[in-house]
Amino acid sequence: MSIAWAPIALILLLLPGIFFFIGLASYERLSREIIRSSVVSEVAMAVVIAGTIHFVAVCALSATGFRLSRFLLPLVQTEQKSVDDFVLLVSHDIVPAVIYLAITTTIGFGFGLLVAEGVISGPLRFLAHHKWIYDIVDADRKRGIITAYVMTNIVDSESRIIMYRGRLHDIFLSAEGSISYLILKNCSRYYMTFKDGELVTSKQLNLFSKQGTRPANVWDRLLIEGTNIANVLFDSSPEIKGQAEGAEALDRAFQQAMERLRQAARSSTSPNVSLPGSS
Amino acid sequence: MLVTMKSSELIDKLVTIADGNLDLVQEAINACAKGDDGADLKDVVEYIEANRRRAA
Repeated sequence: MSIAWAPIALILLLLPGIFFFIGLASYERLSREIIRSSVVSEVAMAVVIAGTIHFVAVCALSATGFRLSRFLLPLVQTEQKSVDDFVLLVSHDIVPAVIYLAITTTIGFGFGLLVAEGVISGPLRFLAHHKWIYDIVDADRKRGIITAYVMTNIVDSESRIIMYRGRLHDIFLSAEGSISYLILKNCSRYYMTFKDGELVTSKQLNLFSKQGTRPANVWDRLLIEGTNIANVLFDSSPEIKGQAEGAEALDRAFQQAMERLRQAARSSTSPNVSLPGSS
Repeated sequence: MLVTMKSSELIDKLVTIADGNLDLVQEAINACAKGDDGADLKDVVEYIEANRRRAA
């Protein structure tokens, strides 16, 4: 019977370590990649974290008079007990055991959140494999615009390099830290050429400018494959603060903007205009 | 691993207010920023509304 219960007990004792990784991933999906290298090392890390949390928790409980031996020995010494006595014993101890597991699991989850926050905001950045991406995540969390200037490896017949500029929406990194693809919003295109030994860029043109009365905020995304990217310049804007105070002004201005778009659509002769929020 | 910008919804609204002009939104954030303290959202919205016609 004790052998049958051993795996269940082991899994329950590992819960703080498992929830550490859940906390790590729930703060920011990317943060799960911070210290993961393989499944084996992840399990080992869960064991170490769960063991540490249990050690600290038992030490703290011992200071209040709790003795682990008094709690465990009656459960282990089952030979002299009848099944009824054993069930009574377990039912008597199950509530404090569940409370203990709930508290240590919550601590593991909170610890994971703290580590993720530390990596993204800076103090624990050294734990990350690809540190630069956390500058982008941090700037985004501060509600700034991250503009990407993408130099492609596409050259036209006049030796002009095709460039794109837009607001970063998604970025997918491979395990090696290179960019698999980028998704940009509010995108424009332009060219870069070598002229008299210097790099010269042309005027930036909105990618969707030829679509007439189509509102600028509808389907404005460009996906650029990593294989087409020569390099990318990321430029972050200052942080936007006071969102609670500014929410009312934002909503009011947004509703007015939507009304302007609806009026423009009504006055337009184009039958293909579709507006967000309109049926 | 995918990283999706969480501020996208807020910036989407600001770009809509600016009639699709991303340059105006960036200009507003930079103009309203007070050193390292960043820009106040209310100031950014007011700047965009005040300069939307000029930028168009």
